[in-house]
Amino acid sequence: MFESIRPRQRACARQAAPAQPQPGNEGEGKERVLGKRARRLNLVNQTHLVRSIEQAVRRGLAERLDGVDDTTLSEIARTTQAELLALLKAGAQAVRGLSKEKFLEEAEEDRRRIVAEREKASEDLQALMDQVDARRDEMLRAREALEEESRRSGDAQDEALARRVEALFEEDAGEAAAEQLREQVTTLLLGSVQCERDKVVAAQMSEHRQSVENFERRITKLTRSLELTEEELRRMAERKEVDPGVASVFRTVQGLNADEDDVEAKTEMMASIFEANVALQKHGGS
Amino acid sequence: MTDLDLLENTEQGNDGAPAAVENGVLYLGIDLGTSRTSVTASNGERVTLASYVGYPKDVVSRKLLKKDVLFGDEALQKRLSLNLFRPLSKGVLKFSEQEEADYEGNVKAAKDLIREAIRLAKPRSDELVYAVIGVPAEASINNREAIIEAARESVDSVMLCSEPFSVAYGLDMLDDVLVIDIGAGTTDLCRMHGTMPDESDQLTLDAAGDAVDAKLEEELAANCPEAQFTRQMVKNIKERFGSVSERIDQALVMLPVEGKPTQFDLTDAVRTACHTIVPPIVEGLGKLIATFDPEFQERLKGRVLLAGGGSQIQGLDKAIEAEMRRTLGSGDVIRIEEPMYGGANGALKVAHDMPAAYWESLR
Repeated sequence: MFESIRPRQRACARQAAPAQPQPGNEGEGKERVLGKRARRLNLVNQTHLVRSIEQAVRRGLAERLDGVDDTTLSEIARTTQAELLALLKAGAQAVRGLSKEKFLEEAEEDRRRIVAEREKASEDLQALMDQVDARRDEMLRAREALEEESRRSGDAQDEALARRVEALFEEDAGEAAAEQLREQVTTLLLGSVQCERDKVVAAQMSEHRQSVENFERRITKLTRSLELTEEELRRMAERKEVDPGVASVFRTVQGLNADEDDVEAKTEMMASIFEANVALQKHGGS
Repeated sequence: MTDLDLLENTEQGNDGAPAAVENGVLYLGIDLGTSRTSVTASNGERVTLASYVGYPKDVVSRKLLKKDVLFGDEALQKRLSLNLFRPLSKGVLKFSEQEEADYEGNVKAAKDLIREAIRLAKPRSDELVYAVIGVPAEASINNREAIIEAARESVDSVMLCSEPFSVAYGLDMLDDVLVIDIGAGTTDLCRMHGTMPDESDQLTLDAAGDAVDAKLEEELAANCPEAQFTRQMVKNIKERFGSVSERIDQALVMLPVEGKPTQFDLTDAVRTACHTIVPPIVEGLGKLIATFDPEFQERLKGRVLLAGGGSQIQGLDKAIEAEMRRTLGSGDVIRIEEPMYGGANGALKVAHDMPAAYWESLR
């Protein structure tokens, strides 16, 4: 009549009634959902259980104790009922029971939710990739523009510089050594100016590069998350939940506000902490 | 030219204002403690968990527990079925000095603990995670490297800063303040005077929560020799009744004696054990005050911040004040509002105030 439920069996009971051979594909489908280890359980509600025991006590006493009046029997039955209810409450364990239809409905809902999460993650991934592409294009255009600008202004600057250097040497144009020296100095100066110009371009490009790197790292994380979602879909039967997490409420790095109290002291403190960490992590990496 | 100069040249715009950075970053302040690990995140999440990590002892316990690793109070409750690790000792990773017998186990436990703490802060899957972790003021370079190594697997960029400093920074109390941060393994003292505190401004003492537990254990063994108890039971008694006040509720505790629960009055034992940390703390404060500019010593004594999980002992602020008056002439102690999260909140503030380029250069 009543069967104690062990942990493994409880998990099955939570999901649905057991697999019984059914006509057509239904039984096969159920077995697939519940697993071959599912067991049949007969469920008895509390009222029915208490009534049955009460009746059993009445019958037993009536048989054994001949001549016991109905009032005494009712009293014993009431006491038994109250004690039994108290015992059941004390030893009860909450178990969630679901009909097969309800279970399948919930499983379908979960599947839909995870699919929606996967689609959302895919959309996010696509959006990030689009942003990266846009940022790359922007970076390329910026680089070309910077190089062009640098070349244009650089040519004029180079010319002016060369003229000034030549003017200096023309004062001693008669000497042969001066001619050679002039060429060497001009080449050296032009090389040095070009080198400085490249440094400026590189510094200006670094911000774009960092931004693209940030996007790429986020894409890597999102791709990993997408793989996890796929894995979750595969493990639907285990009914694990995917927590999408809570987004940071700070949409940008705040840094120190110029209006903040002690901003100079705090800026120095941040720099000190950073330098100590650079030293530490370089030391660890070496 | 230093790394800092290079970064400043590239990060700031023409007006010198910090450059805005793309979103998608979650900032974390982590107080990695011997007893508890607390995390405060920029998404509003705050979590604290006991610094315990447990792995099922065998296949049977794994099947029963249905988990490969358990954390915090759950690990503690099921410790009989687990290989239990408390990976931090005196506020630093046990394995970092490589003297611990099972240091590989502690390495793994520390990494798992940090990962779990971060998971509980619910980062989104596409967010980068930047964390500031508070460490004891006098943690050695090996300790610090070990913490960074343990954290690296779970975060995209990490920095360490001194725990008592982060407490003061979080409360915006940067000038002429003494911070007492009482943890389980260590008590950190820090003198703030408007600049970054250096080694001479900080002290780390052993007089902390674990020392109180050890003393209470001694008191119990001496006063209730027939009672049976474990260190964890002693810790629970301290957390429930811990007080140094003269007027204190009776600490009536049931402890088994040959299997039978028996009531013991531990009021005096608890008070004696809790009070053991007061004299060394005040002695440490005295050292920091005595080496400070004499003109500002009085002001320093009047601004003492009490923080950390161990500061929750009832009446501790008053007891420290009384001991300061006795030995140093005066003292005014302010207990911070959230002792469990003081370090993590401060570390999160440091994380926010840190320029983006600094974070990126440490990735």
